[in-house]
Amino acid sequence: MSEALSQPSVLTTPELSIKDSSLMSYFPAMLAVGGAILLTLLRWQTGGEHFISDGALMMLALASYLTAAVFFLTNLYAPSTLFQKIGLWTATAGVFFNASSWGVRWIAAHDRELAILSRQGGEMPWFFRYIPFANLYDLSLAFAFGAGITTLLIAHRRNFRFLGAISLPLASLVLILARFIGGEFINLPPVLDSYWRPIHVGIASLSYGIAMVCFAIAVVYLLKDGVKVEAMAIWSSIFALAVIATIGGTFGTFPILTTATYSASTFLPPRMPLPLRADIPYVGPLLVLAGILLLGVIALFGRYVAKKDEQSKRWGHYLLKASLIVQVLAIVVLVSQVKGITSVAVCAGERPEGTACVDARRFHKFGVWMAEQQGLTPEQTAQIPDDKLERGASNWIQENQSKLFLSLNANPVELAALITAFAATLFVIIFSFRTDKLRAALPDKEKIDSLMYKTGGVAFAGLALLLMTGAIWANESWGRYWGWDSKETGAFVAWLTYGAFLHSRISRGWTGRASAYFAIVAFLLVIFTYLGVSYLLPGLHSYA
Amino acid sequence: MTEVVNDVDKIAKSVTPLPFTVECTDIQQKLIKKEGPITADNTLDWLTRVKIKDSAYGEQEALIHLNAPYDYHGYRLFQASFIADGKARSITLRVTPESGGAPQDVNIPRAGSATLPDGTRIDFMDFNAQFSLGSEQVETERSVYTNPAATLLIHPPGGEAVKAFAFSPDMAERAPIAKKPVAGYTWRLVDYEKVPLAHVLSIQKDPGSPVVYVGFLMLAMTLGAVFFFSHQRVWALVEERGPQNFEVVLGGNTNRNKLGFGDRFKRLTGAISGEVLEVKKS
Repeated sequence: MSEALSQPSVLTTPELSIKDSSLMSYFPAMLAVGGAILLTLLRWQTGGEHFISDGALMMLALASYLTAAVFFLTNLYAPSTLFQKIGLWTATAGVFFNASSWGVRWIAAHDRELAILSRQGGEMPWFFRYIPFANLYDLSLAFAFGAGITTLLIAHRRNFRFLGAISLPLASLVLILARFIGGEFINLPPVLDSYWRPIHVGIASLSYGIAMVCFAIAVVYLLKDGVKVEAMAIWSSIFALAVIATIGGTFGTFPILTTATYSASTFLPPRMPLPLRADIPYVGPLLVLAGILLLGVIALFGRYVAKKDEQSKRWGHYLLKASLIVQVLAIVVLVSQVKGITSVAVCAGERPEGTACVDARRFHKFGVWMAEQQGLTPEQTAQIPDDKLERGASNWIQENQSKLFLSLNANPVELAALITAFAATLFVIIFSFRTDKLRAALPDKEKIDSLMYKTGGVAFAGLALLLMTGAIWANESWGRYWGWDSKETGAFVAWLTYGAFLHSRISRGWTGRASAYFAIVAFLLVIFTYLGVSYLLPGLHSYA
Repeated sequence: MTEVVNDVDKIAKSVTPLPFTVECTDIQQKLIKKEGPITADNTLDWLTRVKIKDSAYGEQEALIHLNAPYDYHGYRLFQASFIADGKARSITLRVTPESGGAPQDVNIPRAGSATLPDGTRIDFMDFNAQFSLGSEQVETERSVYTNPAATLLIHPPGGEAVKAFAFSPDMAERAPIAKKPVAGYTWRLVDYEKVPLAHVLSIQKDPGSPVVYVGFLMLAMTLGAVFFFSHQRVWALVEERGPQNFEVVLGGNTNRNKLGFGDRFKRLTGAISGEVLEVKKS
């Protein structure tokens, strides 16, 4: 052994510490959470009369996330310390408002329970009974918070602050979905009245948020790795086309493509959604046009990717931009029509102004639903002649049509999906603008890849905890750990996919692009579990 | 208790004797919308009241409902599912004296009794949602109340007990048997609280659950440890090449996130370019 080894030298270096970050770099995340706790306590102390509502806080969070995303995105194209700082602090405000919204909602739910008790009597339920994890609105608030706080925690490394440009718009989409679902409180079903609910659902929302950030990193990696924006446009267009094809009616009937008509669900006062849709004018043709343009985008960009045909590329971009404009128009028209239409009616002949028409082809389905509501079994309903069912439905609608109304809360997933399709198209267009400069502004591929691995790992751990707590809750409440319920199975498949993402990386050395594709597929499965199961498949988790 | 047994090559049902008996005393289905259908979609909760009789521990009553199983000496009773049954929780009878006089309404809970002013006792024996005189009982959907009828046992004062059926007024018009007075009265079923579904309880004896939970906990902790505490080692070989001149050779390895570690390692090697302030010699 050399003499020098037994004579350690003391070197002074400014950056010798392996840890490169101080606790202070987490200050924005701590500030957001601490501030939200204080605001919630303030709400508790002062009461709700003159206090900002949870819905208003949610809208502030949405505005902050979008503003922060704009600054982060601008910072990528025109680097500026000021823009980066504004982005960071606006994102911090967004997480603060998001968490406050959830906290204030908790206290508001407590006040509501008190009001019910003062009317009806009874015992005050325990504190965790009204924790806001009861339906998809509550879960969406927490989901967006999970994505927001993960973005802030990652932003402690200056190099990764840009991530908010992708992850915060995604969190905003979740809040938009929450806005469309509507924040009405529900009466908690006894099946959910367990202390395992906050544990299980809390873990779900945070791990979904982390998975969302992992997805955002995967998209950034693909961009940095040189995946053609046109190839991304093909995928985003396929997604948008799938949205247009499936919305507007029963899943699998493709109403927009077959009838060029969009119809929205109707409500009966006070807020009872009916399985009866009324046609909204102009939206259907606009969506069909958007679909045709997107088909053109797919064909032209497909040709460009396969044959390097520059002409196809140029025209593909024109069509992509045109499809964006048409998609915006369709969304604006849809929202303004739903807001502006004042009556729902069975129309004979021309549609009166300000009226959404119920088409006669919807009578049969509604008649079947009415029979079910009267306690008839499917076998008994099947024995009723079709014309009798339709007549019954028609009579009921004509008697009650003056009460029916439309609402943006009627089809939350459809509206959120349309906006997501628009956002995907918008981002591809943004990426296509000075792509090389954008790529140069992003950190090294290896660093992005490493971050993707870390967030994927945490998402995997979170989903594992989700499955474990779910199994314990199920065993405590129903006497079995596992029941192959649709949401259980969905969560299990998503967890396995993250497991495969990690396994392929560690044992097979799949890093980079292959890993990014895995992360994207895994997140799509998370979203399917989150929304698809709630809206498409019946099961124990249908409420959330 | 019947349970499903999973053998290597087959799944079968077996009967396991319990050291106690469970007697159901009442079931209740709380609805979300009271005027809505009695279906699973419209149900807030299923409640079952039972009486557990045990030679070792005596008799006790328990209420079992969703998210609220009942623990009994290592056994756990759960609200598990439901099957179509077509019964009634309580009935309201309109009793009209055969000799004339004002009819009166009597409410009787399930398996309960009521006594008329003249001392006639009425036992509510059974309820059938699809009453049929022949053997043509509809077995498929017993929860649909097409021909509801209550089976009663009437005890006239001083007389022998006789069986009677109470039908709904419209059915009574159609069925001659319903018009015939029994024990001096005609019996009409004017109202009833539906219990279309019978509750199924599952009984679990799971002494191994703490082991499973400890396993979950250990798995969770391991996952945390695996992802947040990676093993990283750095070696340094420092050799003196001359006065105030050292050569430092660094090496390192990690079991996870090699790229991240490589990053840190590069920063570490980049940082070792400082001035030697002090050399300690021992």
